[in-house]
Amino acid sequence: MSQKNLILQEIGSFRKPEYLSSRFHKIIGTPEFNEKASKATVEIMDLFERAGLENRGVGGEMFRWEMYEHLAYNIKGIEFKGMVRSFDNRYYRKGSVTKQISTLQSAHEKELSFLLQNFQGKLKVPITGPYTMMDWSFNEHYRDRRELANAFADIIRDEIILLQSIWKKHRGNEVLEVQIDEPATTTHPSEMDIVTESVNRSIQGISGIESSIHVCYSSDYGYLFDQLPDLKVDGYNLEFANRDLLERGKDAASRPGFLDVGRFRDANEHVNEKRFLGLGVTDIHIDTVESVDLIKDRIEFSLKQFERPDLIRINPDCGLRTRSQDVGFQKLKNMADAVHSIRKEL
Amino acid sequence: MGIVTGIYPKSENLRKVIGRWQRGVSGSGELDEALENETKRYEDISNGVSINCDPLFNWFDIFRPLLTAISGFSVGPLRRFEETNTFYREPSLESLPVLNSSFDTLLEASESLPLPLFRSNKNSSACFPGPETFFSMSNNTGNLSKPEFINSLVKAYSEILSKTGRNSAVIMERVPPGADSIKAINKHLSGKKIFLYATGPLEESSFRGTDQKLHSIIAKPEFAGIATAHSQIPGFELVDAHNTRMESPKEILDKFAKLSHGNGIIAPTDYLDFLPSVIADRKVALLSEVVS
Repeated sequence: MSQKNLILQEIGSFRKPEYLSSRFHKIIGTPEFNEKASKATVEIMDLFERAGLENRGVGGEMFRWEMYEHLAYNIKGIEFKGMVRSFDNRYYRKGSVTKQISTLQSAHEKELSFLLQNFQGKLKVPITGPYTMMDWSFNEHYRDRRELANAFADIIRDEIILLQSIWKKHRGNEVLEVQIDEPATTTHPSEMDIVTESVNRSIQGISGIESSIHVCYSSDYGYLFDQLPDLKVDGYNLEFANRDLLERGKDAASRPGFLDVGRFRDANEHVNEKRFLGLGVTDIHIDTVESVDLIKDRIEFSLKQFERPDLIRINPDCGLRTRSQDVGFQKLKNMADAVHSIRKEL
Repeated sequence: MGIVTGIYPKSENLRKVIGRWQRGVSGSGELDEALENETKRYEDISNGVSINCDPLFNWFDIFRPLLTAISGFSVGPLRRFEETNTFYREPSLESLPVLNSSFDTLLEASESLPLPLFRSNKNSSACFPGPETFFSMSNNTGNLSKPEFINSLVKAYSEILSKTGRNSAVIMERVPPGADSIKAINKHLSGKKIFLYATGPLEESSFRGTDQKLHSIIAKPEFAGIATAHSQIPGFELVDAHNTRMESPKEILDKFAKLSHGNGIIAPTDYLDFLPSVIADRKVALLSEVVS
């Protein structure tokens, strides 16, 4: 694991250019799709670099439409029977697991191969986690939710092994970073043992990778932190800015959204293998671009809670696809400027 | 008897019309017509269910239209709806609820589809969030007393029923309805047919101190005893509203026979908005078949 302080990292998605988003579903699976998704990836990787990101993820997930669908469409045994409402007039495709599930084809191979052929530097592959895949599916086949989560875990584990083999061809023994996206974590507090069991199973026996879990909009991170000794991931990339205030200040009253950093520190004290914390410092649900000073306040308050800059990484709360490219870029740029300023003082 | 209530999933056509209306591409006329047609379509497919409820096609969540129809509230941030992947706007409780005089004529309400609250004919039941649920899923910014809030809210419900000429309502509780709720329902809605629909647990203690049986309590099978003891017509939630798997008529009838002693209502475990519309239609058809 790198010892650099406050590594600047992407978390996942970014707004697609119009030429890709408007044609995505019409051209997916065709050479035109590969051409447009590749072109968009190059553009977003460049944008991330200009913004100052040190880990550019997979370039904003230009090869993917939506985190659940992307994996589910590549799995046998899942049927799509229609759209389900998430809020207001927004809908998502929720698959029905109607028989035993297995990999149809790799969901991430093309994306990673393209990145490795065209880019150097740090990358991080986000993969939707087994618990979220289970929770966001209708279960018509498996005995219970645990069994289905574990079935997804087996598919994800095979996927990570495949990605690692591709990675090694280009990067040798350099560590592959994998981020397991689990937004559904903590939505059913009584099932935290299923989260831990299935995520662990996804990475079981795979050496030479750095694993992290991404969770956002949890009503209580305490459920997640309680699992820290048993959950065998190396880091936690979490949303904090959304629950914070927009006014400046470095005390607890000014930074309510970052009080959980202290709870993470407490949980981390009880393990030998220390976990890193990815600190969400910019809210992806608002167009307001947080100032460099406000982001500095958030980071400096967090550093007071958890005095391990080597174990803190800096990222947006979640993927920035909800914002325009201009707003997304400015948020990332301010985040990077805040980090560069703090590093000078460390 | 059978019942389907709460927000019913919208067809693809209605979703598209709403999308156009939200983007300002089309006006209220097209939306109104689409809502009317969708409501008629629903009335046709649910005809065999026996207890008809308004499908609430113009409700984005179970609180928001009421936040414009009743004063004392404001619309808060997005919150996860229980343990689902669906979200609602959290009501902010600022003062005791009072029905607005123009409650059913507001058109372009903030972040809502146009009212009226209920579009189907007056013989269909209204549907309201349970007062306990309303309180527990809101932010009590006004530090309101819970018993007073519940009493005022149920009074407003009663006024809505009177003013819309409806004789029956489903009150959906997702948390155990406490004694305050039962007392308020008995006090303000005694002349109406009330279906207390508990998608969460029920507690015997809530009914202590009242001899008055509710018209109907619809409950999970494990609470069938309480529903039977405290209502004239108990109901049992036997159709899974959170899974696309289709139950067989026999499966439902066998369970019903064990619970009902021949008298009762068959219901889904929740409202059907958590399913794709095509599956919801099939579940309604299944319920109609079982009822017949």
